[in-house]
Amino acid sequence: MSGDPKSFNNPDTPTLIAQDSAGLGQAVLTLTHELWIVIDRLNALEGVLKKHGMNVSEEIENYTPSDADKAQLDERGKQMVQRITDALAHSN
Amino acid sequence: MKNNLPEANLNQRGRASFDFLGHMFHGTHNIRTAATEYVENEFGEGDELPEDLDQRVKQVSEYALQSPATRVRRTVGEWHASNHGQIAVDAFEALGEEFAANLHQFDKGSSSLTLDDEFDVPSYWEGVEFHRTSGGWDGHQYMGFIHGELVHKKMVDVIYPGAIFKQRCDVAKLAPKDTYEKILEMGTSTGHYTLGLALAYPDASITGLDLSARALEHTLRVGNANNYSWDLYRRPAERTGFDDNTFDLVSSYILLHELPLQTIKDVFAEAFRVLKPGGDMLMSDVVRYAQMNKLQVSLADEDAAYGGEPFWRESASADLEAIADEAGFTDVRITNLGTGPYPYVVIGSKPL
Repeated sequence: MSGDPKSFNNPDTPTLIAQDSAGLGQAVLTLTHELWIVIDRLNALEGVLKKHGMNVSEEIENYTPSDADKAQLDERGKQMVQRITDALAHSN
Repeated sequence: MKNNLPEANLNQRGRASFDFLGHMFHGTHNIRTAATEYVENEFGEGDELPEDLDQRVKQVSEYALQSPATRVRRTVGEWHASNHGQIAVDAFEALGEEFAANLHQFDKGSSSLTLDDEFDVPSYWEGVEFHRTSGGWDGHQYMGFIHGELVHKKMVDVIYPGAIFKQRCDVAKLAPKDTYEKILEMGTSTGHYTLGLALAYPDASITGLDLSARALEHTLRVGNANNYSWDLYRRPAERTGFDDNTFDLVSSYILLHELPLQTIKDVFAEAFRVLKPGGDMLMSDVVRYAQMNKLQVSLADEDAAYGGEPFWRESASADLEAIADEAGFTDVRITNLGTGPYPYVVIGSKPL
């Protein structure tokens, strides 16, 4: 960082290096796995709803989970990030 | 705490994106712990590390980056820092033009805002993207709402539950007297602490200052939505333009670490000047480096550098008690909320 405060706008943050590539590959595959589960589930959900004659796209945009659902989603989200970052750090 | 502005009901992408920012924080607890333990195991409390902070940060950083946990922590942190602002802007814009237009119903009311067209923006502020906020505090027409209502309430409050309002309300109550007639808030930002002051001292008239026009516009709307009579000005805290001996309390919450050291000294001197004799000063900010061990200072300093905090080091290194003494305040004392070292609070009075 220089004395110019604007130099803090886009700092040259050290992140991954070459030796992280193995873990990075694991992380990408872990993420792909998770993403596929979501895609499959969405497709299943839309298919089931369509069979019942329901067009839910607008309702999905405005959907707010219940407190219980939100707590469950937050736990799943936290675990997903944890699995991926653990894989990235090849610590699992 | 509700502030009576329209509720931002985000679309699925916006809602899920903010949720994900929270998941990123809570889901990397183990990584952060491992990264910290890695350097603690090597350096202990850092007693043998260099006194020179640049050298210390370099030594600790080079060692820390040998740990995959540190590299992943930095990767996650960088993604968060460089994406949260755009996520918030996108979420706001998805609310639609009608939502934005609806905010303007609160432009008129019992509060007032004075924006000086000839305003001389301080060099320490202009062009600086504090907190890595894209475009800075005035980088979007509705940045006040985006930061105050979305980033604070849907991200920061998820990471530190209840902290945004409770800490500000609790700090406001630390002023020495039970009532004040005229309060000046330095660094009003989006009005969270202004609300805390208004709740603590319901009979006071409150004047607020900030450098961000967009943040002040938001505070104006918060004031009007709650029938408060706040007088807001776009002026620097170190050059308020108010007469000597005007206010009974001058206060700020987490402003000082966004200022260079000399400006901090000027702010205390200005607070002293505009206070009436017998008036009180209540300033709060981040934990002082003097309260940390040498390793903690190094880690905090590096985090601040990557987190869009250009003045963190010189501010956190400053002895605010001595600066308050130097400005002329008496009965200067340091306190906190009894829940930990943050926020660091300095209180003093202008002699009668």
